[in-house]
Amino acid sequence: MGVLEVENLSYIYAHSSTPAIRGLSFGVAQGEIFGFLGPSGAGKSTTQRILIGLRRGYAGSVTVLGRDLTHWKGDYYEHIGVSFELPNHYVKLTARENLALFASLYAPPTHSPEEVLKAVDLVEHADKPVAALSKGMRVRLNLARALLNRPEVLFLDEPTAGLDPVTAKAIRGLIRQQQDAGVTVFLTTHDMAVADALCTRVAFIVEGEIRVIDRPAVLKQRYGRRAVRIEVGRGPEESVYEFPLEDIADNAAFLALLRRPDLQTVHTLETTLDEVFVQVTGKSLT
Amino acid sequence: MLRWEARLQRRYLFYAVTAIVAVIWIVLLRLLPAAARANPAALIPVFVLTNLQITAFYFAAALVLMERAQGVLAALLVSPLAADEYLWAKALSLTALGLLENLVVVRFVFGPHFHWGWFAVGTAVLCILYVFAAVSAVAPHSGINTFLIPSVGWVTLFTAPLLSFYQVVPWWVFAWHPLMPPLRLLEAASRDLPPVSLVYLVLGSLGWCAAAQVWARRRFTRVIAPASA
Repeated sequence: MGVLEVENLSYIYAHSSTPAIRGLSFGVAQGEIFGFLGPSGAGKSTTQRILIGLRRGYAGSVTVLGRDLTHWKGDYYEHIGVSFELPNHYVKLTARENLALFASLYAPPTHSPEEVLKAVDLVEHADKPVAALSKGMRVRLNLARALLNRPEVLFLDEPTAGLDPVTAKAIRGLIRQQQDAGVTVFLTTHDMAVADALCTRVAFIVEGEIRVIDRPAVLKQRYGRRAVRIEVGRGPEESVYEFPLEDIADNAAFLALLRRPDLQTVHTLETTLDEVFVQVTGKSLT
Repeated sequence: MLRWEARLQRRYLFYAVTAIVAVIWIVLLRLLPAAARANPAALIPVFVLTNLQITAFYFAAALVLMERAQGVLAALLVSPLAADEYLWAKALSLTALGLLENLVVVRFVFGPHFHWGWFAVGTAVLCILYVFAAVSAVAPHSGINTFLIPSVGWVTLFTAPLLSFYQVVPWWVFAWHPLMPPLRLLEAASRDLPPVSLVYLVLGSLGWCAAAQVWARRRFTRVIAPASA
């Protein structure tokens, strides 16, 4: 059995007549990074809120760590960590104080504030009030807080949104470290690059329904083209050629183009996860 | 959580504001004619009842609104912190602040000759009731601006039992008002009441505190939590 098992999950908000999510079914194995991808309003947040116990009254079943979600009490939060998309901290407390406050809510053993601050590279800002931290630092502090209780399952909502490329790379590394330690990660995002870099499997959700679930590499292969595109010449002399990958080493025309002095570019035509999403759902991620 | 709640209140300058308000009260009340101050049984209850509307009711409402605005409530909701722990941390920390403030003001204005025990019990019950009422009252509001006008209605409700207390209307009109038992306990600080009355007032206070806690918990879990998640 997986760490997370979702069966035929549906939810209708009180003020609405149409379901926000319909018949979602998926499982997440231990140590997996499961990407839950979709445009705004697709049902990602509703699903995550149900999984983290903030929405009740859903139809279907959700099992987390072998126990039905409705049977979990407050101790559920001893086992999971949640990092929200937007920073949410006591702005008058320092980064260290925020973490110490939340650490005091969990049963020991927890990580110390210093340990998680080090993990997200915020040690030198530990004693600054959160009000004095940049948005990127506050997002990292969200992640640090989610790690405090040594969770078995991590729910991350857009963990690299608004971060500079260097910090985003560091956060991706941290998430991989968690995976290596056996933590299961449920990653909600609309950033396909993050999903592609991190996720073991991804689910595409559009208009409340999952359209496809698979490994990113499989999807890119399935929806891409096994071919190479070559551009030679410049201006009016420019020509573009495409060759199938099959037996390309013996393709004389391809090899001849590679030897031309006016060779400009050589690209494989493997597709991106963004393009797969558009092909599968007919929707853009924006 | 209680320790952190107190630290937060200090960082948000609640302690400083309370100290300034206490000084202002001491100055104003000492300016009253000696004859007016000679009847503490009539003056102390109205002072404490109105003063705690700031220290307990508005401070508690402001804390919840700030936590909601900063998104911290969402983070607390996905922690093991129970709703009752959250509520009591606010109630007890603000009760400590309100108790200290009012003890100091009353001591400096009216002198040391009181039943301080009854004063402390009455003040503490008022604080707790105000804090739970604040959580319930603030539930549908997302900011202080939308809360301010409705809060006037709440304050009017809180002040209404003074009409019975000062016999402007018959006593039975507000006999079942939740704030009447703590008001009478404050009266007992400077006027002897029959023991049977004190037992009734203490039991009544405990009953209203329990009811207010249940009400605040329901409003927290059914209105505040879903809107903050």
